[in-house]
Amino acid sequence: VAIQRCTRCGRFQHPPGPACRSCRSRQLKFEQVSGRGTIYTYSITYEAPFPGLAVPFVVCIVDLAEQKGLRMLANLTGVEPAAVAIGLEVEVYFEELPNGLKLPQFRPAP
Amino acid sequence: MSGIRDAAVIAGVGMTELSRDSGTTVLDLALQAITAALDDAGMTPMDVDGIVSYRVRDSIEAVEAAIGLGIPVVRWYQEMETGGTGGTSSVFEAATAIAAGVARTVVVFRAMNGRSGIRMGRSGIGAEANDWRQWTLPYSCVTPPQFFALWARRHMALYGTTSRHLGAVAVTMRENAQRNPRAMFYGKPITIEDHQASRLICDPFRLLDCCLETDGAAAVVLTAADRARDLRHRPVWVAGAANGAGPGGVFPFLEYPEMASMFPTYLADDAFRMAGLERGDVDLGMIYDGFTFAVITQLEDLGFVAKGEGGPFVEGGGIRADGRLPVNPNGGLLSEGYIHGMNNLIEGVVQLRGEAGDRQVPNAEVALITGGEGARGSVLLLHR
Repeated sequence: VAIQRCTRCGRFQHPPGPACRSCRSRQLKFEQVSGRGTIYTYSITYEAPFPGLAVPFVVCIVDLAEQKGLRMLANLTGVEPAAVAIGLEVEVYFEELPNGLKLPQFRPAP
Repeated sequence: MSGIRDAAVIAGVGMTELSRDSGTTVLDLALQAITAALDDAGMTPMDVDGIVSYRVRDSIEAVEAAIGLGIPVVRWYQEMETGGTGGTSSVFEAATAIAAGVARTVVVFRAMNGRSGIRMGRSGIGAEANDWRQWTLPYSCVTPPQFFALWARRHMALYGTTSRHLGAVAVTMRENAQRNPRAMFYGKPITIEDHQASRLICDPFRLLDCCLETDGAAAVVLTAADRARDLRHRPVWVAGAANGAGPGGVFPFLEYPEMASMFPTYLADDAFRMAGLERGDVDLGMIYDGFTFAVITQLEDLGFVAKGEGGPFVEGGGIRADGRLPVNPNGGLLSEGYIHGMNNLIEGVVQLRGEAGDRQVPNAEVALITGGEGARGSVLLLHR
């Protein structure tokens, strides 16, 4: 997974933006990160916001390993909801969507 | 710094019936509430020169209501596309316009068919991936319970807050609603066991952790301080306010420093300083209760209890009518109804007038009212 990074001050930022939110530089690039991190917080949806969604499902915010406070929101799969906990070590994987797009998701790290 | 301290007073308040199906339009609801507020103030639309409202893709423009009232020229208005912060920040905006002399009498309102029309809880307020939602919609994370469950979980993990603590807020709000015939849950008390048995919506939130969705409208009229003596009711003064966002204050709050704490962490001191008041001066809290958890964390972040002590405080009765800080005697958004916070504001005014009947907080002189949850919000201090 690639995260936007400032080439001037070196800070990663997510979500990406037109300028570095730390030093205002517009010299930004996307850089591969490890995709490893820990669960910062999570929720378990039981009432589906859209028809046809399988419940329950987990939404998590992951603290990425590369930088303190660098976080991503995604689903967490491959774990029983009752076993999810803040601090759980996770890794990114890519879910292939029916339209061909690949969506970064998380699962417990091996 | 005194900011807008005591530059404006709340002269009148008005609300429609709260229902699940109003059977009428949002514009009609708005005009009903505004007319009631003007009557309450002893004014007519001809006295009004400013208007402000807020909405989340679910209501009319403020100026539509002004035209509907027959106000010939609107000299100041604001159309605010914002969440629950609007219930108090709109009052701050109106008082600021009055303090600046650009308007003299301003109507603030919120009108919505929040149950029979566009429902926030069903993501009716927008599920297109054309802004920050592009980072959440692909993960089926779109509704308020889903977003704020993330905050609650973090607080529970850091401070040991439990579902029963959340339930204590739900039970207290419902208890308060039993003294409020206007409340949608009047005549329907609950116990902590009912809370624990209610179905999970988005863990850790159960059904009874989530506020109502309501059809209705609420309005208040503000006017310049020099008119305070001419009013039909005892004036309620706008003492101080703050409205803003903490760092990284955009959904889904990925850059917000710590989700176990909400916006008052950054804003409450500003409001108290402007008002020249201390925490100990506050007799009544009208705390934005879109979710039970939001009351617990805001009481901490406002500085009424130590961080992490909110759960035990509410469980110990601290926010009940006879507690250390009575909160939402109307039953709040959880049990009175959900006019996006503005009904809590009106209760604060009615309490400070001393007109709250069976649910009157004795000798209420200062009320603190919050709007919004999460990284963004507003804090308003009123006194009689």
